[in-house]
Amino acid sequence: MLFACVYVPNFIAQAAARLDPVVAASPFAVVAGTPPQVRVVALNAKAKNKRLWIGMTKTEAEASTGTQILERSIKLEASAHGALLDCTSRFSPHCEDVADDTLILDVSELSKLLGTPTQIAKSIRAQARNLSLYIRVGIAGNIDSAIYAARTTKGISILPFGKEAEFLKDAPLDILNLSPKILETLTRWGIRTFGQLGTLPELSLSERLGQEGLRLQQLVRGQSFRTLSPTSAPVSFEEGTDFDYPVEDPESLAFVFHRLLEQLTIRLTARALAAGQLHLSLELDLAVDDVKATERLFTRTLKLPVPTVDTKLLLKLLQLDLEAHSPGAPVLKVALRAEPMRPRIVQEGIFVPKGPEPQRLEVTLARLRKLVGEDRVGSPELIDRHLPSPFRMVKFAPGAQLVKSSVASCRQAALRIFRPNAPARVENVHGAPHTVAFDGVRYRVTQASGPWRRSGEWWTQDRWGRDEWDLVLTAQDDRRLLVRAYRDLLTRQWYIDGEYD
Amino acid sequence: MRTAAALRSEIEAKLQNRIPAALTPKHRELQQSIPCGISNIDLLQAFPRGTLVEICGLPSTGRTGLLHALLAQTTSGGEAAAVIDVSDSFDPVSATQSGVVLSELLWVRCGLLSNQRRSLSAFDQALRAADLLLQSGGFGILTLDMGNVLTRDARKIPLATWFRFRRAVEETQTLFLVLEQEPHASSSAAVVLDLSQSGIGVQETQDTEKPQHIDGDRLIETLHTRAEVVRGQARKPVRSDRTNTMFSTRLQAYR
Repeated sequence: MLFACVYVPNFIAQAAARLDPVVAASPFAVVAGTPPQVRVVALNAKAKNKRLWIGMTKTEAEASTGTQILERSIKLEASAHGALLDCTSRFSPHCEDVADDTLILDVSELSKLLGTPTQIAKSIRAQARNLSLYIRVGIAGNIDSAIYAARTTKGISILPFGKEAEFLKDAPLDILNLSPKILETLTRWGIRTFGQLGTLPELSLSERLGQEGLRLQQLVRGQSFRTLSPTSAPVSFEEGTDFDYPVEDPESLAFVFHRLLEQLTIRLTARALAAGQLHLSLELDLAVDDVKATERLFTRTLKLPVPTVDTKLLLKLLQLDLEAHSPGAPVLKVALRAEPMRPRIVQEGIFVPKGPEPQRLEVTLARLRKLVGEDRVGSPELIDRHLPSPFRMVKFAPGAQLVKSSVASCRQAALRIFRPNAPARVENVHGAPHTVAFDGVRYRVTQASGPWRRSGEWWTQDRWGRDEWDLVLTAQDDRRLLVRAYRDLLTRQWYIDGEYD
Repeated sequence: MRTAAALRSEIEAKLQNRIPAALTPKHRELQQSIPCGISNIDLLQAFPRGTLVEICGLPSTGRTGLLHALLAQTTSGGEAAAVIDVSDSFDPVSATQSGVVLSELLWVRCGLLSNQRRSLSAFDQALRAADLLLQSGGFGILTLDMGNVLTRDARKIPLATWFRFRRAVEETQTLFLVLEQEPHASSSAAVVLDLSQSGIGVQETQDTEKPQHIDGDRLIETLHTRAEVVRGQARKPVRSDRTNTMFSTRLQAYR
C-alpha cells in the first residue's frame, strides 16, 4: 500500500488570503478572539520578517506599518478545506479527512496513470496551486509515516518502504501531538527527535510510560498498522469574500466574481461536475444615505440551461443579472454557491435541425431581458383560463418539449392585437356599427358580422364581457381594413381589439 | 488599347497566387427555400435560407397570416424561430391555430418603458434585439415585425444596418424576415414580396334585404391576397418581369 498525506502549512493564514492575491502578496496577520483579548493567530512569512509573532495583541500588530490585519473567518477556512477535498478527490476516491489542514489518500494504484510517487506528488501540488493552496506532500507505506513526512518536509517527501525510521530520525517530537505530561518527561530525558525515541529500550520505556510509550515508539519507527477510513463529507461548492470597505459600484464586483467563479469551476471540474445553478448572496450596508434596498441580504439565483463550468459565461450572466436587478446598496460581503450537476453530453442528430447553442442563447436572453424588460422575452404559453387573450410568458427553452407536428391544413388569417386596445367611436344604425373612428381616422363600415358575446372570470374580481364584431372598414382613400371591434359590457365603451392580417 | 476584360484578366493573373479570382464576383450557392404550406407561395421559392426577405403590405393584406404559416412549418419541424415584435401585436392564440409550436418560438416584445433608465424606443430596442439574435445564431426564422410601424419611421433605418443584417445571415441557415408596409432594405433584400388585398369573402346566412341587423346574419369568411415578387435576387440578379400569385386565409376559426 502507498499513502499520500496532503498537508497545508499555516492553514489559517492561507485560508484567509486564498481568494485575495493582493493581500497574499503583502504582510498580513490573522486575528481572532473577543475584545479586548483579540490576538494574532496566524501570520504569513512577510509578517514574520517584520518581527510580528503569534499571540501578540491586535493593537500591537496594528502598530506595524504596512501589515494588513484580517479577521479569522470560519467560512473561509471551510471553503479552503472544501477546496482541498476537491483537489484530492481528483486523484483518489479513497480519501480520509484527518484535520482541516491534513488529508490522507490512497495512491497505491495511481502509478499506472501518473507515474512514480514523486510525479504523483507533483501533480497533487500543481492541482492545489490552481486552487490557490500551497501544500506539502508526504508519501509512505503507512498512514502515520506519511503524515509525519508531510509535516517535516518543505515540499515533497517520499519515504522508501521499510526505511521510514531512518528518514524520520531527525523529525521533532512536537509533530506527534503528545500529551503535555509525556512531552515533559521526554524533554527531561533529553529525547527531542524521532530517532532518539526509537532507539530507547522497549522494556524500560514500557515500565516508565506504559503502553502509550510503546505505541509512540512504534510510530516513530514507522511501524504503524492504521487502516484508512475514507470519509465522504457532503460536498458544498461555495466561495465568498468580505470587503474591508463597502463596494458601491456593482460593476467593480466583476473582478471578485471572476476570482470566485474561477475557484468554483476548478473545484467542480476536479470532481467531474458542472454548475447547474448559481446562487449569489450579497450582504448590504444599509447604514448609508440614499439606499434603495430594504433587506440586508440580497440573493439572486441563476438557473442555467445546461450545466457548465465556463467561467466567462457565468461571469457574463452574473453581470447582466446584476445590471437588471441592482442590489440598491453598497456591498459588504459576497458569496457564490454552485449547485453541482453532472455535465450534459449530447450527441447531435444528423437530421435534427441545429438549434441555438444553449450557453450562447442564455447570454443573449439575458441581454434581451435587460433591453426590453424581464417578463417580455420568452415563449408564449396558452393557459386554460377564460381571458380575452389567455397566455403567459415562459422561459424560452427550444427542444425541451416533444414537438407534435400539427400544421393546420386550412390557412388561418392571423390577428394582430392592439396592446392596449384602441378606443373607438362607433355609430350604430339598425343595431349594427355604421361608422367607426379610431387613431384619428374615420372609417365607413361596409361589412359587419356579429355580435359575438364573450365573457369570463365573472366569478372573480377580474370579470369581463364583450360583444365582438368583425368589421370591414373602408377609409376615405378606399383602403379596406378588417378589424375585430368590441363593446365592453361593463363600461359600454367601444374598442378595436386588433386587425385581421 | 486594352479592353476592360483584358485588363481584368491581366490583374487577376498577377494576383492569382495571393487572391484567386480577385475581380470576379463570388458565386453564391442558393440555399433551400423554406416552405410555408401555401402551394401558390411555395412555387415562388421566395424564402431561401441565409437571406433577408421583406414581406410588404398595408394592414389586412395577409402579411401576418403568411408569417404564421412560415413559423408553423419551421417550428413543427423542431426548429427554433424568433419574432421581434416592435408594436407588441403578436397573438399567440391565432398563431397556435395556424400550427405554430409556441415552445419553439422566442417572442421579444419591444416597447415597454417601465424602467426610467431604459430610454430606447421600441424601434431601437427591436434593431438591437435583431443584432443580438443574429449574433446568437441557430434560429430557422428570425422575424422583425414592423407591420404597424409608420413608413416615415421605418425609413430612418440606415442602409448600413440592413447591409449588416444581410451579412449576418449570409452562409447561415437562418431566414431573416422583415414585415413592413413598404420595402426599405434595398439591395440588401434577396426577395421583396409585396402583398395587397384582393378581396374579402362574406357569407350571407340570413335575408339581408331587411334594413334591421340580425345577429349572425353574415360571416366574414376569407381574406384574399395578391402576392407579387417585386425583387427576386434569389432567382436572377435582375428580374424585369414580376411573378404574381393569389392566396386566401380564412377567419372561420375565430367564429
